[in-house]
Amino acid sequence: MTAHPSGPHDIGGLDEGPIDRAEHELTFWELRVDAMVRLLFKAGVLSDFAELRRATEALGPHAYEALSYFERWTAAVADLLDEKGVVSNEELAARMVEIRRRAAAP
Amino acid sequence: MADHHHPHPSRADDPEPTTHHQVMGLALRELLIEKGIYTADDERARIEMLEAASPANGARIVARAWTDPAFKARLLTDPNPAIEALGLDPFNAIHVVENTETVHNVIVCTLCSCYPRQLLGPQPAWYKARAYRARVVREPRQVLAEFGTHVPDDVVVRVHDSTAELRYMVLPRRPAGTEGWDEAALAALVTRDSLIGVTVPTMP
Repeated sequence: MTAHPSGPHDIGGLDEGPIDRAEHELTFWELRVDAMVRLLFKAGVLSDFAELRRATEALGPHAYEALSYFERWTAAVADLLDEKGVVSNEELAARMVEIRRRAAAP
Repeated sequence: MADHHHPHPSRADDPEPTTHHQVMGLALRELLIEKGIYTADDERARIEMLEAASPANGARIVARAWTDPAFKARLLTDPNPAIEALGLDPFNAIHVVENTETVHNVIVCTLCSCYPRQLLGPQPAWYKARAYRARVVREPRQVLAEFGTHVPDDVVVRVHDSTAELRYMVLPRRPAGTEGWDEAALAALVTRDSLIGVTVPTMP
């Protein structure tokens, strides 16, 4: 693959293969993440899409390749909320453990 | 699509969110609601708005522009009044770009996925994916041909790269043979892909 001149998002003009035109209806999880981002803008916790995009680009090339679109948004929101002191990484990790435990409960 | 519009938070055909990042998303959501940053009702209302966004909105604008030259002239200069007349929020900045006998327009967001979702509904997956974003600025005619759109050599292809600050919608050409059609019949010819510019409206 061609080197990324200014980040993994900067792909305009690169060589790529055929376009996968399969339609994909958003899942409820994806709609929730979408709603979360917009509600964080509305609440003034996040500034705008430029801020979200910077955080998404800062995830690095690996995340950009390995994660789905809304997974990247999620990771970027988590980083921004930790930076801003709204939800710390520790608090988030603890809640993730709790959710896994709940899901595993009979 | 039949049961697409139920507003309650469950869809039988969605898999349970299980990846690391999916669980992260659920955890963030719970914590933000507990902290009072937004409520579950806010979330529900926002999801309903997202689901209500549809290319039918863009299609109505196009049909109106095809039948009302004064409306079209205003639309090409400042689309926001036409958008607000549909009961939608105005954009910070949006351009409507007109296809003509000599120019074919197509939109992309090479850096991410910017798109006038209020007018076109959710982005198709390919609009957000690498192949389209990378290639349409480099070999637009080839990409259009993959969508079944063969633009004659003497027609200029213009590719518009969107940003969060400036979005685009294509005003396609009215198909020949639709003289005398009413706006509703015309709007039915206008697809999402024709508003992106990867296809053109055709007679049924």
